[in-house]
Amino acid sequence: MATRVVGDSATTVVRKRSFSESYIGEWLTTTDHKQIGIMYIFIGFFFFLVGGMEALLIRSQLAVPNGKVLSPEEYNQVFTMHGTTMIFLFVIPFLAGLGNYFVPLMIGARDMAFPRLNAFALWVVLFGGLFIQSSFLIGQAPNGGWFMYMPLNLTSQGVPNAAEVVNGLNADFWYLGTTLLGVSSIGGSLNFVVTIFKLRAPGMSINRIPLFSWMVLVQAFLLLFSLPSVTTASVLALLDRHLGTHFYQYTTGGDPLLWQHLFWSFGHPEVYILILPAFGIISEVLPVFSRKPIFGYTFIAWSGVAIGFLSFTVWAHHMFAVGLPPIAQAFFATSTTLIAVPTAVKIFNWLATVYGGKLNLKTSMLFALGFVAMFLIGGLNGVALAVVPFDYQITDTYFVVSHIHYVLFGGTALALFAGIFYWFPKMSGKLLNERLGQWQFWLMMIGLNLAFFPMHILGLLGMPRRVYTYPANLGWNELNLIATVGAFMIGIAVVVFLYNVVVTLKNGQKAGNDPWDAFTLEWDTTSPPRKYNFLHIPVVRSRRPFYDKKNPEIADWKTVTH
Amino acid sequence: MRTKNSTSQQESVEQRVSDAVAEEQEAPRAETTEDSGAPLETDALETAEEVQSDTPTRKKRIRRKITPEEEKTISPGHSVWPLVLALALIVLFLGIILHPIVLVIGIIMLVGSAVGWIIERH
Amino acid sequence: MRTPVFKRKKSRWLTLSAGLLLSSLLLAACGENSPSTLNTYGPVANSESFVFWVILIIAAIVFVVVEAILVYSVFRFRERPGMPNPRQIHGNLLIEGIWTAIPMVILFIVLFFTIRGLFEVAPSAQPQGGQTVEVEAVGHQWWWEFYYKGYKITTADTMVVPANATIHVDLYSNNVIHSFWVPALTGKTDVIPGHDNTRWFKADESAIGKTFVGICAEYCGTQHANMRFNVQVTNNNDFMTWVTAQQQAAAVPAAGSLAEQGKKIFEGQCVSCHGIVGVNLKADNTNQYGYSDPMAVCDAGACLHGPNLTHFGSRRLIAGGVLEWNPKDCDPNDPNLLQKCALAQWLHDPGAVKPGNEMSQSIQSGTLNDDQIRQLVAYLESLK
Repeated sequence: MATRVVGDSATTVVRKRSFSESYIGEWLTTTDHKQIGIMYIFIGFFFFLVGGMEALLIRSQLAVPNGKVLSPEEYNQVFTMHGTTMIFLFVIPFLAGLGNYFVPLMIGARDMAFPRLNAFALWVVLFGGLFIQSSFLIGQAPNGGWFMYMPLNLTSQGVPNAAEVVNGLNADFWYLGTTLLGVSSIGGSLNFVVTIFKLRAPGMSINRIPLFSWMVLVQAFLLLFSLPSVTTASVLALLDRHLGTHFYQYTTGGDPLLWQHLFWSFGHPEVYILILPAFGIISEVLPVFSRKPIFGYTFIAWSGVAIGFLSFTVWAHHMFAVGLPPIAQAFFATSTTLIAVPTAVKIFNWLATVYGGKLNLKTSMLFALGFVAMFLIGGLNGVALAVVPFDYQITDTYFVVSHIHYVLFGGTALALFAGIFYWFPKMSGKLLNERLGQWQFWLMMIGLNLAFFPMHILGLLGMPRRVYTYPANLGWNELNLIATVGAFMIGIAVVVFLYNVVVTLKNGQKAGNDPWDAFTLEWDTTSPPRKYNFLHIPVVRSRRPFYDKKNPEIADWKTVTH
Repeated sequence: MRTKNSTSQQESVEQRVSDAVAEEQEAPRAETTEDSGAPLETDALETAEEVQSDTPTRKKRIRRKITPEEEKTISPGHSVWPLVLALALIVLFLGIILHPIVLVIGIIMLVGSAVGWIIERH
Repeated sequence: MRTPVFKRKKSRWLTLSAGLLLSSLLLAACGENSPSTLNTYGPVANSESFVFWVILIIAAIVFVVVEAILVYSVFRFRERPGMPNPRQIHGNLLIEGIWTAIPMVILFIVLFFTIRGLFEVAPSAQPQGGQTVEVEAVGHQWWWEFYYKGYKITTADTMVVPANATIHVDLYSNNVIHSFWVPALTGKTDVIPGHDNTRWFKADESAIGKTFVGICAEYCGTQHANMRFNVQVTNNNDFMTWVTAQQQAAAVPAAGSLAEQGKKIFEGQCVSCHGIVGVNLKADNTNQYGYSDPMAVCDAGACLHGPNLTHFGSRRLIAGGVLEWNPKDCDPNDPNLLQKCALAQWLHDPGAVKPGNEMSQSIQSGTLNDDQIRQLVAYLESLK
């Protein structure tokens, strides 16, 4: 990794404008990690809106008992697609987008290691997403729940005694679509791993890369090791459905639980795939707006790695009710409890970063603080789910729905907004409006607590998840109505955000290169960065290279060794 | 035809970069130019030497001579093959659902675009 | 640095979440009509809700401490004009060690209760001796069937159990995965084809006379939402009376009555799916579904897909718990029968009540005319 300088070469040839120079062609044929990152973010956000609409449909249906907004069949398609869209088509592409844009900038690289593979992964996400969503056009969207349990999703040939299984294309869309998205994620992850291992700027040792890059690295490894499992499971499902094999068919000696083991040995690492880069974003935002370095860099980084390893040992905590031997349940309860330790360490380190700082409460910081506050709830009710006897009562109820939304909305989504408010000036050169940002933040905070907190109680009161309706006499009415109100508040907050983006792009305040007085390399270049990122590849001597450059007399490398 | 196209791409990139370089060589002095307000790494070379003198044992690898490199190795060129390959893949998957003919078209497209990808030069 | 209206809104949010937390506990305690997991009536559910209170207390303490530190930091260290830059602290090994150890200790306490509770409710912990009632619960799409092995009784939608006896439930499915759940008495156990799970529970003395809601908790298709059942707890005498009544063959309607005409319709149209002992089933042949052998494949006619209706008149839930019906509303001679009687509505158009259910494939609105419905209602009511 030699330090490079752009050499000059001047050639002028008169020629026809090629396709890749037209505006559309420029984007369609690009291999620039920043353009790809922006497209990823657009795709992710587009599917966030789609998934959000689906969520509002769900909440409208459940607002009152015996709701008539959707038919049962429609409802089952919508809730399945809500989960699938949000997990596979919103969070993963969005995180991949931020990772694509900022990891090379943060580690001082000019691009990702495999630019064409990068572009390929992007297009596969887009087409794969459209492929899955297109199932709505023929009225056969996947309807088996986002984890597509067997044997419900076999054809009736495989489950001869069932009154109803999925004979249509519904399940095929899901299995094929997620396989496609898996192809994309494998490509993207390989790219991140190689980029972070091989393209770091001189002096940027692995224990100096910004924590966001660390978490993206761990996430990439998790994807690489967990995706084969779900891909295998999906292919076996397709074989069962169409070629009459017997992997999941109990009548011929197959086992429905095989699907659950294969799916969850992907599905639990998946949860950390969705949250680890969010941890990374928070670990970038909190120090900058607290005017302090991150507290316990090593512990945050290695607790991320610990979470990564442990996440492969906890899958059966989704399956406590399937009748595993008690000793196996005790094992999975223990590993699930253990994984809370590195998570707790992270939260304490964030608190210590904020404590004693000089907090600049910009919108980005508000979202980051909101993340810590909300993710804590998601962590605590997650531990509750590891308490096996209690889990027997609340698994598959709205308590679980509440947990996943505190983790993925109160956690990941808030972190994504923190990241967007933080990095938007770098990507566009304009500062998002703070006033609107604060409106959005408070609407979201209140909305999400209204929407998701009552779900805890609904779960305790015995409301199962995935029901398209509920009778009026079971005491669930008021709480469901509150949840619906909260969901619509979140919807309004998203509209505020969209308005903010449009207004800002049109006539927002100019950001300059370093609006937040930040610490890391992505701010040490123009906003937006040029195609080659840095004119000279910077030389790094600490974890906060840009801070060192701006404060040479109190630079980190003079005061600490790391 | 294809080779010519990619060459012209490279040239155009080089052109743009050399423009930018020219701009930046002036910018640091002016500092007011809105587009390049950031202090660029004009002192990267000095910094590298400084490092050597400060901590000679740890920073050895930066001693390598800094050579100017061609822009084409710095910024990847445009390529249409990722898009085509992704399209091929989706046609193939649609074929699995819709009709074997579509599947065959998908496979042909997949092989074609993979070949295109492999023989594309930078 | 101006931080607009921050303080006010933050405290509003705090009040809100505190209010939510409090109201949650109140609601959980008083949700009397709900199948609450905390309002329990048996040792299994008791130890399951006990660990909830343990984890709730621990979680509440952690929540309050961490959020307090966070909120305090936000107020205390908010940027003010002229504030100097803070000390650049990069970490502290000792502190890291301490706050790795503290959650470890807390979590091991939680783990202790987890594993203790786990073995308290495990199948191996089923009490030996005393009265044991063995029930086979079969998950269908989308209703529950209960077969009392020792008594050769088949019923649906309502499970009657004596208090203080150990109820051993064998869980079978020959279709998709369901989950057996009676929040007041026991947590969930999945009903998985090919995996014959078991579950045991006991109802306390205080539960006598109460009826608890049971719910299918694993997504099982279009009508997963409408797959409930009742668990009726009785004292032992009432239970034995009920058993004796259920063991009888179905009542034979008087000649020339409305009910007899209903029986004719039943024999003509309903027997392809439903069984009645004394009509199309023999008394020792109540177990019709082959669920004891889940590998068996039911051809049309080889097993009956619908609930056994031998003592339908003694039940109060129909159609997988969607409709409650009361014979008082179902006088067959009432001209407004269709408006008042849930059973008549079901017979009129099952697809309108529970879209997608299997009966709606053969019976749509108009398949049975009003007279036929009256006759069937009369017959089914007579099957006490």
